[in-house]
Amino acid sequence: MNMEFTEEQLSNEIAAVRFALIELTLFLDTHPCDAQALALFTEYRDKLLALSEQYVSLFGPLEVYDVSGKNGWTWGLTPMPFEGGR
Amino acid sequence: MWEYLKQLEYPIRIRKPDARAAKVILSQYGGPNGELGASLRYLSQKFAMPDRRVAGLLNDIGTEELAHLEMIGTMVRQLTRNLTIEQIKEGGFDAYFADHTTGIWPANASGMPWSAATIQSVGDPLADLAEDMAAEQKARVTYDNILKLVDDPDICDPIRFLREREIVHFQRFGEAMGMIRDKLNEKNFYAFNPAYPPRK
Repeated sequence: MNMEFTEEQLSNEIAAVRFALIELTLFLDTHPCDAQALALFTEYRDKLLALSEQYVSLFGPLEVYDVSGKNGWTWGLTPMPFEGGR
Repeated sequence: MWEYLKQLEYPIRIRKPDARAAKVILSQYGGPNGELGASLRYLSQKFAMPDRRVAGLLNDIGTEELAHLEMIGTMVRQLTRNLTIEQIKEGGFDAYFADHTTGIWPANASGMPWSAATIQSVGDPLADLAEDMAAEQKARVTYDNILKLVDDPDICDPIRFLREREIVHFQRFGEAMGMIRDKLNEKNFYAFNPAYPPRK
């Protein structure tokens, strides 16, 4: 994994993988026996977990349970996602 | 239940304030075809949906609509946060500004507050799913109209993403309608509401 990612690049990468999972979820809701879609789902799920771990260690929590406690209450310190574009 | 994720479904970074664009995009926050109505429609209909697969689909799409509501709020915020008083007056945002400053409030483009009268939940799977398919098409039309009124790529890009999602949701609801129809055929009770009275 390229460690040169900026916060914006890594966040966009995670959003893209998460979007693939949202789309696969809806598809599997109406095509529950599609083996190819199910395989893609687990592949992207693993990708999401790896990328999220990297994001959390570099830039802070995505969800509240990502707060490790070592750096204080980071949930309340990192920017909100709607602040972008300044 | 839900837990908050500190990420938008699709990135939004709008650099240029635009009062006129904010006014029309606000309609997808609290208007008749907007994301607030979409989320409440599906998340309310799910309870009476007799087919567990379709109830799950309503829950998943309703959840995604809440993420879209956050995207629309983000867009209106980024379009309005740096407006000068002159821009607010020139852009026709003064009537909204008088009551809400640059806060985000669920109303349509002409200021009518959001109303539950714009959604339905009738506890009949075919009626509810037909409403959902129509709702996705109406939201798609609203996004088409917004794209005719706006040309800043920072705005158009996320709006096009949201427009595409309406089309995917329409497709999934159509498939869900097929699932319900298949089940109705099994017992041959097309003419009756299969959700009430409850069948074991």
